[in-house]
Amino acid sequence: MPLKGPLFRFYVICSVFIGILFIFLIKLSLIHIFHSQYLTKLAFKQHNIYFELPAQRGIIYDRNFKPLTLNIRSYSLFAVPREVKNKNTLAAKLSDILDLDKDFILDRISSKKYFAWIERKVPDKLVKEIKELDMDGLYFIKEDKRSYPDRTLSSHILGFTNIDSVGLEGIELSFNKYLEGKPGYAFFMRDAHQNALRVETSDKLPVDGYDLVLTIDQVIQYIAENALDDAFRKHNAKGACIIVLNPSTGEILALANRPTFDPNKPQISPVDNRRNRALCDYFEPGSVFKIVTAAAALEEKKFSEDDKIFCENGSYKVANHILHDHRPHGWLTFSEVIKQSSNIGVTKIAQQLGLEEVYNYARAFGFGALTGIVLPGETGGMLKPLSAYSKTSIGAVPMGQEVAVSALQLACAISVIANGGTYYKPYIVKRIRDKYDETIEEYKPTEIRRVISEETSLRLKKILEGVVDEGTGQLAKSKEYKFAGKTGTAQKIDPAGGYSHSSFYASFIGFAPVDNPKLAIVVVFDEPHPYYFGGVVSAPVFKEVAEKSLKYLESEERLNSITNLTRLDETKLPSK
Amino acid sequence: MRISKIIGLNIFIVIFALIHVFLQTEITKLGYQAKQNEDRCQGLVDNNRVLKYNIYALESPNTLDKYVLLKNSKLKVLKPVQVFGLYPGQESEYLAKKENSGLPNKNSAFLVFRKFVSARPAEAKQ
Repeated sequence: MPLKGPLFRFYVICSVFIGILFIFLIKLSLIHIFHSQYLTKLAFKQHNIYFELPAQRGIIYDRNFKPLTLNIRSYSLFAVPREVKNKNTLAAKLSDILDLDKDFILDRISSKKYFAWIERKVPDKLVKEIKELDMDGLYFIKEDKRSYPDRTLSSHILGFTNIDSVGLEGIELSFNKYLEGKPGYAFFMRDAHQNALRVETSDKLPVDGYDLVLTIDQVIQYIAENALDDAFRKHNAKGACIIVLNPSTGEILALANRPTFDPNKPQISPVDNRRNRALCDYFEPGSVFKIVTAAAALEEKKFSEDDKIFCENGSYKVANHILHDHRPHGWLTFSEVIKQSSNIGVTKIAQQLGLEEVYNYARAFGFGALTGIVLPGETGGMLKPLSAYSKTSIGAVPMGQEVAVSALQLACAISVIANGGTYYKPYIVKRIRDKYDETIEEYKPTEIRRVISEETSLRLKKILEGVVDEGTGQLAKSKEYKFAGKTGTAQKIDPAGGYSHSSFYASFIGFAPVDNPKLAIVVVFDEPHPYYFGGVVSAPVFKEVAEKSLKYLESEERLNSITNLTRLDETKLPSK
Repeated sequence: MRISKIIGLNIFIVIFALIHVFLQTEITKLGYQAKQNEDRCQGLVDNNRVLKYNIYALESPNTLDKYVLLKNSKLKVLKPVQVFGLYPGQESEYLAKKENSGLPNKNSAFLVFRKFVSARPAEAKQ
């Protein structure tokens, strides 16, 4: 019997509801079972915002923990082009404030992108002015900016970074992988206005970069740069460099070049100013190379200090080449040959030794090879294979011609004589540490080889002391300390051929004090004029740097001894 | 199912939902607060970093030397005899020596005061 009446209507309505419920159930199961992953992701994206958590770049310290680099906050300006209303007005105003081309800004804000950089790392003063404009579509984002509080000081050692804080030069480049750290990320809940709430849903913390402790001493660096700068201006040189080394360890205490640059604004300096001449440039060393010939002669016992050598009154023929001394000499002792820097005398010494012996000693002193310092762009200089030298080379190589060296190689070579005959690998980074002062890597003095005996070293020290006391380096003589060194004046190669008679390298290499050398110093000037002798241009710089640095080191020692005493006394105090 | 059980279940669900909503609201509020605090903290850290930079820039030998030259200060490196340190425990010895020597003890009040306020040594360099 067919259903009719209220019961029929009840069943129909129930069926409709059950049908609707069934549809809902199907939809729900589709959402929960089949689309759940997609929808969960979508919801996560809508409710959360992604942030990259930048890692802090490591700090570079000097040997006394004075920071040579810091990271400071800066603001970068970007636009959301779709939100910008009056593009022309905005471009004009920003162009005035930021000193940028109006068309460039207009081009940026007219694009169809969601994001367009206008200017990265804007100075704080300008940030305020831009914020006061109160224009739609302009936003700032915080970024770390690499800053160098000492400005030009140590600029060639530290190098610089690009806008994204990636090392481009110097230590910043060589140790970028240690300094940069690893960025992290985090998802935060966000509200309807896209504001991030500090409710983290998931994260990976950034790992900050490691700090570097250098062997550089900020004060000695300043003393060296100041002295070099004064002389660089005074002698109208094209370039100059200085290296101060601890001869007993190979630690570089200071390294500077002129012209220089400010690593805070490297882009405004010419590329030439940013070149680390002390490492990257090589030149014919001239008379400073005579230390190699002298060392070889004494070590091989071919000569002693008092042996007499006839210096041909200033003119001597070697193969087809006539050698000259800058002042004619007759009979000179071995010591006097070095003191007076006689080219003829040194050639005669080398003739007794043979070119091969001089060559071998030059190699042992580290010439013609990289020193292995961890700074970019180091040159190994030029020391040709022995077979490539001609008959006239015996009159050239012993006095520093037909070879090319870097200032750093000279510093290592003079250190050998200063420290008693051992060649140490030069280094500039002492320690790599994390933020909790845990050591990641430590660099220690590396003895490479013994070049000469201690006895030869002592004899050479005496001769080089004579160079300063009564020889060509008298302008390096100090009233308070005993210094030793060797002058060098080398003609530059003329592009037209042969040696130039107007362009010179003036150099001085030495150590101080003679009895217990704490500093080995190399000073090189490129094309000084009108004065161009190493003894006139470079020796006074050596004197100033050595005197001031030794005084500073002595005062530091005194201060340390006082601090140590205090510490001892404090341990005896009753506990509070 | 009895009607009372259904009502009880509904009440439980409503209370649970209210607590959930309340907690979510509180989390959001705390989130805003945390953001404010973090922004303030970050601002202070940023300022601190800028100030540190300024201090180190001022402390730099580059700046100091120019300042000294500008002031025309004729600073000299001290000779060892010009530097002396007073260490805790030595003051009483110093006073005793002075008393024994019969010299008037002019600085005793100062030394007693200094000993009272500080256990650190006085150094001419600082």
